[in-house]
Amino acid sequence: MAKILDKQRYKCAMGAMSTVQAIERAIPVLHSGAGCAQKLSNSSGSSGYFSPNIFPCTSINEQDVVFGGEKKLHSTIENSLKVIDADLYVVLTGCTPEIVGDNVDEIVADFKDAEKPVIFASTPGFKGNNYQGHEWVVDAIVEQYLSPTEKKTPGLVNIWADVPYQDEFWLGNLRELEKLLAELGLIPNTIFGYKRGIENIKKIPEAQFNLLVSPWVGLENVKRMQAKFGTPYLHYPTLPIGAFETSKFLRAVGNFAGVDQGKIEKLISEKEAYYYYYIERFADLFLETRVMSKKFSVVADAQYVLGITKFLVNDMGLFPAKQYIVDDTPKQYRNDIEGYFKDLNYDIEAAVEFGVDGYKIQQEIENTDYHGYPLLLGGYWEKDIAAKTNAHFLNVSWPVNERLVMNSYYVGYDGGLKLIEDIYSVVKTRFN
Amino acid sequence: MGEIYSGIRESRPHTFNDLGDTSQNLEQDFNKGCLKKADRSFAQGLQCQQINSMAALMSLDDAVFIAHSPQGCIGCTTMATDVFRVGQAHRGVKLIKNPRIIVSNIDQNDVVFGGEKKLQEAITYAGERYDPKLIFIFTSCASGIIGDDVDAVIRDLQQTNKALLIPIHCEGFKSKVCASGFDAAFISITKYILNKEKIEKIPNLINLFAPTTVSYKDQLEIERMLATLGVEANYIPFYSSLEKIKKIPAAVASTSICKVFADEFMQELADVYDIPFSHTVMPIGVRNTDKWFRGIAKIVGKASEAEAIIEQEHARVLPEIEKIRKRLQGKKVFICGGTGRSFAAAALLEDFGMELVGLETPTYDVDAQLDIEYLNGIHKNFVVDIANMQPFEQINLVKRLKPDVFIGVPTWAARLGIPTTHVLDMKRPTMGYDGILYLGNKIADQVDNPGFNVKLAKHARLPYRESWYTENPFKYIEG
Repeated sequence: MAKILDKQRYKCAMGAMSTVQAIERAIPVLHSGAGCAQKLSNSSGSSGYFSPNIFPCTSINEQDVVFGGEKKLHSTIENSLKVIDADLYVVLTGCTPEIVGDNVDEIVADFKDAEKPVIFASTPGFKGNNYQGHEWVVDAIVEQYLSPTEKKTPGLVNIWADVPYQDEFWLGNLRELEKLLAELGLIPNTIFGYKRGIENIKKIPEAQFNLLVSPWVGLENVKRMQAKFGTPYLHYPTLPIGAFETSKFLRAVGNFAGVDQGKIEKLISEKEAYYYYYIERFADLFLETRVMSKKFSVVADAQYVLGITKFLVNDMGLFPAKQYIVDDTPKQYRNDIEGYFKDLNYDIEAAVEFGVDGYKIQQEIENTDYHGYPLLLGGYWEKDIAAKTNAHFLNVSWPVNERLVMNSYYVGYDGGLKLIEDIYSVVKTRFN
Repeated sequence: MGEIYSGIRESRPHTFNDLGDTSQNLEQDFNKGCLKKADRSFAQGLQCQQINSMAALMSLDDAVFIAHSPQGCIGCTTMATDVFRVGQAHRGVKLIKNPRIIVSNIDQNDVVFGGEKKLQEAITYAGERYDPKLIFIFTSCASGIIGDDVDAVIRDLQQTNKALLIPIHCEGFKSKVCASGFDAAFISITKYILNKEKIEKIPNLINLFAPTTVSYKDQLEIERMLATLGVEANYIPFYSSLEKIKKIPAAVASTSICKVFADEFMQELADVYDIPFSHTVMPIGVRNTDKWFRGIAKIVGKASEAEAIIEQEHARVLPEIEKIRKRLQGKKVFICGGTGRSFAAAALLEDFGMELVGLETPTYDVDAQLDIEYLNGIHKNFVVDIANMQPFEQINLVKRLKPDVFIGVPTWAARLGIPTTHVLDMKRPTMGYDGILYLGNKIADQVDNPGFNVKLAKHARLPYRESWYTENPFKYIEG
């Protein structure tokens, strides 16, 4: 568990209300303090339909702390079903009811015959952050909403990636991953965002396999689904950004799915030709821009630190300074993740540190020689240190302020081009 | 305050949070003492008092803010960061800083064994890293329930700590009135900084209290108005410092820009330091601005000067308001907002000849009754929903009342195709005589081009069952 947090990079487990919100027509019902929804909401878009102010909430008061909030939870669920027009109700618990010991399981069980499904995930803030909360919500869906099925659909692949809303690019990334799989001739299945939702959730047990694109978030989920539905999984730890990693990704997925080799290679060479058409057109800009950095650091969650490091080293020919993973990655995954940073082209290895102490990280950055302007990709907090160190700064991870992300993405061939655009749009403000 | 007032607004007499009726009925029932305490058996998320405590203080210079809480309780601070940075930018600060925020990160282990050690660590870190003059420690639901003795930890560490350690007792579960969080902050300022010490008075200095939601433009406008009275303002606490807080007892009078901000504190200052105060309304709109200005002028003995200034200001702005009035006359308005802003917005309608049809505001109390009496004298019977947010009630009401304009959080009214705007603007003007013009033009522009909301409404889906719109909007208020 993380120590004291200075410059916080995530929210608490109940921040997984955003994961619920990302499922169309699913609504969180909060059994928590009054302010929790507001604290855990953000300005990176609602579901359109539901937003945190809409979420039913028991708003626990002093009396409930003393006498328990079970009655209030019951009436809140009961009336949520009457007032809110949703298809899935996910009860989430905050710190207070968990400390005072409300029996939420029992209350939720009262609604097992309700007109719409009501499920429950325990998400008190003291138990974990929203990366974990996200996993617990997915687990709750798998355990409480889905049943094993004999029916299997060949080529159907459930795609799981990082955490909706915590990752500002979650929606665009998922859509692009879907497209890549479709181009391999597979049938992608995701549950988050526009026109996915409950119908797609129901298809989960039928999939040929689960594809997890994340260094660690969701690994517990795909293992659980393997145990419950017998669905095998492919864990691809690196978010594929740019040509090198995306081609590798297509090969890995294609091979795992049993796609014809010739077909995979043909797709890859088409895609790379397309990608390098753009790179070639602007190659001179990349080669001639003197103010561009040579060394970089990423301060982000594991997926972006890994994905961006691989992209900048393998595609763009930059050199990694130290990289900082700030998502409080559980200890059991850290060794593996460190290993991925040793697997860069030309035997390059990147030093990587797991830490949640933004103060120390920024001190280190300040004392690092980047051989010129540093390139910093990180959370909004890095804006301060970027100003101090004259760095090129791009805000890619939470908190993301001062930029708007609607449907753009960094995944895939086009995602790589987009990241180059964003980086050079910062660099070019220095006029050479 | 102090010994008597706990900082929990529910403990004040005649305070109601869950209520809905027509304005005429409310006025009468309140007078007759017929209003009852109630609760909602279905409700949506509110704001908690910890948010207000943080908002009250998070712009202070030389300070570190520690949330003694699990990791989610400062999820909202990127918003505070935005306001903090804008506050600096508007005040011409070159190297703009972020607020320094630390979370003690109460975890499962601490829930069982107590989190005091972690708090000690956080305080030590804060001192070592940032060498601040002030360290504020905000308590949380979790720290309160597990029974951490925050005061004892602080007493202990204060002996060796250079910074002044100030606990703010703002556990979310203790109050449904988020303004209680403001009181919690001021109670601690009284106890830990001012300490009842008397200092020398500074003639013509007054305390001007304002929450962070007041923009710098508004500060300038209010200070401009006060300067015409020959009065200098000690602006507290937004973008303030320990020195300015210590200067509070030197003032000859106090006033606040927001009705629910520092009102209890000003009473305390009156009791302890004999500092008279003016508690009137939020200076938005001509009537309220006049009233606010007269209030503070009277306290500092400049009542007749104020009349002359008001006359001048009217001569300047009324012709401009008349132009805006032509664009807005007769439009029906629904208002939803915090206590100060909602009533201020309602008063503003008079300037533009608009008609109030609905008002949603968090708390009903003696102060609110005064406003409702005034509003009942101007508008026909309108609907009042005493609710902290509760958009499900709001959308039910808005659908029935069909206003031409909605003032407040725009999310839901916009999805009905109604032009929306706000009077809460922490970056642009809303207050004083200049603010009226800015606000009026903003509202009129929005009404003249409702295009975005109209198109949004064609495609937006509303989150409630159809049956809900035919139900009594106050159905779930049970008492």
